[in-house]
Amino acid sequence: MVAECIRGRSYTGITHPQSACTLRSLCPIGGKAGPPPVAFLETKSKVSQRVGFPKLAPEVDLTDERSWFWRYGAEFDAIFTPLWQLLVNEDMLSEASRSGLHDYLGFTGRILLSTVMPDELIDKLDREQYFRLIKDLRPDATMVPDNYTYVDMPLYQSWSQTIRLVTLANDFLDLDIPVIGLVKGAIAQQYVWALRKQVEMGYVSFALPSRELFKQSLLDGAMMSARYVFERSRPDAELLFYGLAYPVRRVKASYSNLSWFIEANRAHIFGNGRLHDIADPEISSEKCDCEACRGRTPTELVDLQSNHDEYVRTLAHHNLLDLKKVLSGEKHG
Amino acid sequence: MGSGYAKEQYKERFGQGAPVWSGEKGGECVAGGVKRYGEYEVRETAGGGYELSKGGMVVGSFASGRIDPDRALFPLSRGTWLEVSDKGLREILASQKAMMGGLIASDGGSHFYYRYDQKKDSYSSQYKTSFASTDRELIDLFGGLFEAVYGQAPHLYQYPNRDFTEAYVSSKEVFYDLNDFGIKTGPFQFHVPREHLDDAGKRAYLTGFFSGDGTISRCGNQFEIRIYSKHKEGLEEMKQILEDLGFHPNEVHTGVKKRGKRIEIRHNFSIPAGEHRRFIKEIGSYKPSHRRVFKEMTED
Repeated sequence: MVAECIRGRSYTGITHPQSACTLRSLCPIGGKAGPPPVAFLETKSKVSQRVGFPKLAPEVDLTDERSWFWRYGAEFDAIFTPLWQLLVNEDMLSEASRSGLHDYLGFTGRILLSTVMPDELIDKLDREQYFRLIKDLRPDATMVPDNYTYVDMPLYQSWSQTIRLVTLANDFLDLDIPVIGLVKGAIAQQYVWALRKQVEMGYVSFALPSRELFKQSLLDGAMMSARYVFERSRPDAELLFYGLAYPVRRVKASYSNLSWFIEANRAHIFGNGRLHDIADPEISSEKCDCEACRGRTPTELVDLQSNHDEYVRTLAHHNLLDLKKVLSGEKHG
Repeated sequence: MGSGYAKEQYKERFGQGAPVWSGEKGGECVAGGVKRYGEYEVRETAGGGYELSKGGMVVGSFASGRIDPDRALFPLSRGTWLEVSDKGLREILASQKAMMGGLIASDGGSHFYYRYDQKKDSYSSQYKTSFASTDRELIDLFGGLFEAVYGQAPHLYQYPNRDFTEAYVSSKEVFYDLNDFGIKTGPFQFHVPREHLDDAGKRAYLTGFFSGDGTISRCGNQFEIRIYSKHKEGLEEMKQILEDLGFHPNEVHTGVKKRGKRIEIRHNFSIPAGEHRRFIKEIGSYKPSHRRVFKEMTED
């Protein structure tokens, strides 16, 4: 990017206009007044508890009760709840903090706290705030704080963020609940170094935020780095693909996503793990015997549209059950 | 979040990140501390950019922007701005894009079609956004606007044995971008994206459309400014935005015209004579023949 910048190319929102370049503090050409590198601590070690991921731990939308599937009879051992949704909604946060996530959601299974959040929120939270939130919300397990590591940014930024991830992973050993390590990095060296450090600290359960990597065809590189570290230093590690709704072949892993609900809202349904529009002639006349459809065809489900909430709930329930089957390997598309 | 390409992340979240060449001017930056618009707050950051927050939480960061007393504008990609006002947020078209939309709505097209590949025995989607005119000035205007909005110059095609030139681009991104605003809804059909136009955008849209499908007729010393179209709903929307700007256009009339064996139904409305000078000053036209008559009208 520096080379491109010197040649005169710029990017809106990043280096354009040049007087407001968001990266100037990192710029090796003109950024002499940049901040010092983040201080790095000696890491501790502790036998971290294993989370024991189920094959599918659905993510729920805290702002939309139609995604609270346990209310309409679907059963799952664990769910992921996104912390950022609470952070941008003060009322919801204060209520969830007062009662704890279990009472707030009325969910009796395990609640895993996801720290994957927008960059500006990542920058605002420090160790003490995370600890206070976790103490108030009382989840059964939490991820270590998320970071941002972009492949098209100067490596200084992704290294600073990787060091921050490891530092906070080290701090999170003080928590008395199981903690999920993160597989993050912009280049192989960062993935490997951050994972090795977390393995040294005793982490056994890891989440790989996959949504963007999958979309940009970068997931294979992250997976190879994770496999490289796990095979050599932690063969018993468990891995969860966070934000992925398709099974990754030849990798034994768990999955978590909100696709089942997002797609139901768009009137899309999963069939053998593949996504279809509900009006798709390929599946519209196929009867489905799942708990949600009870022998109805997608065409018959469309009739539920008069009660939109019920319609979305039914599609979401169907999607969840289909994803569970496919991700558990019960059938393949 | 924050994996993969930052450019893609920006694009997905804020509609930013598409590469542009230096020297293109975005909005004018005005220092002003914190400014509140309804539920939203705009704060100037130490780095020279702006942060947009709602309820104490940052919902967007922008490298540049323009702070007006009644609204704030932040540039997004492809010639759109994010407008923050007491009414909330909305995406509006920059004047260049609005004028381009007007040109496409009048004498252009934006559509997709399937092409059969005989070798592969398969169909592939093709996209085409175009503007055709007999006036080279209008083709150049369209080319300039297109380049300013999308950063690419359209191809030019001179039809054999016909006197007009077509400027066109085959791009899926451009097609879907214009389709989102409903610029061209079908053959001879268009929609005026009134909800995405501020006053400057409305004027620019009208200028673009009038340059394509406007006429000025003369009867003795009297002039008549009319806008024609085959699409009545679109014309009603045009009339509406003229009314938004304080004009008082006459009712839409329907006329039948015979072209050989074909019978064409065309709708039109005119601008009252008392508002001609204001129309010429605020809307105007880039069509050379219009400009000549406008000059004559204003000299009278």
